[in-house]
Amino acid sequence: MFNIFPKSFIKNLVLCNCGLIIAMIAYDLLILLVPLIRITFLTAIITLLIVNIVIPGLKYIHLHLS
Amino acid sequence: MNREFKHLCQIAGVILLLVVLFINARCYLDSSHFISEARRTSQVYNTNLLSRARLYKASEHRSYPNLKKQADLRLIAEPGMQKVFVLSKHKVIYIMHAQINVQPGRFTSQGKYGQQLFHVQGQHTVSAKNWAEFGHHYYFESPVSKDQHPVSNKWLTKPAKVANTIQLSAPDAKWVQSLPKGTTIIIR
Repeated sequence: MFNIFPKSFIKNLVLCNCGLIIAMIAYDLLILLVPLIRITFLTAIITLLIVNIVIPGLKYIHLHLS
Repeated sequence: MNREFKHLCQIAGVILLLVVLFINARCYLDSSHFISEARRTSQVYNTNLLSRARLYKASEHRSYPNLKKQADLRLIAEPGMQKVFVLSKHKVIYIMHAQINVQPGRFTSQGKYGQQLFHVQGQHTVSAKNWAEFGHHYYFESPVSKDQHPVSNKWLTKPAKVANTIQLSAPDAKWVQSLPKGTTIIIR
């Protein structure tokens, strides 16, 4: 992965994951005030997986195929 | 914040938003998660406040509402969900984890309650506390021990089932003792 993507991209992706986790914690607090459905641990993991597949996928297309 | 990081955050935000929209839409449209007598928003709100089922803990992360001040109070027990919904008009005011061992029907609370209760079923004995009677010899209670062995704190996974009872956690059972006489209790 470090050979395929630039180091700055990996750093941004890690920061983006941290932001996403913070956003999910904020959502978990928001549901105590607003009747929204709670995100389960499994859903949170799936969301993180999707993000970590979709974003590098798009970057790969941008770098190598376009 | 550089441009690439901004784009990554936007994509991640959109994905999170889509996931949140999807799970909310799916849950709100699926009627099996809800009871029809109360507003879905009130059920979602109380479900979000639910804690894990523990024998010595209240079911929700908040203080109990005063049952004597509620208008049109009803209790609906859902054996499939292992939950008892406390309703005031069309609003759920509290949800309790429960082991329901009562046949479906409509009952009223008797206003009788006490501390200790012992059940003998064949060779098994179950002791319970904080009981409150409803219908004709049906009880809300909190199980304490079965055959001299204390009931597990994770009591819903290993329930000490007793016929004609609705078993609740100890604080919940204590609270249900304040149920006004004549309150309707519906078992599904």
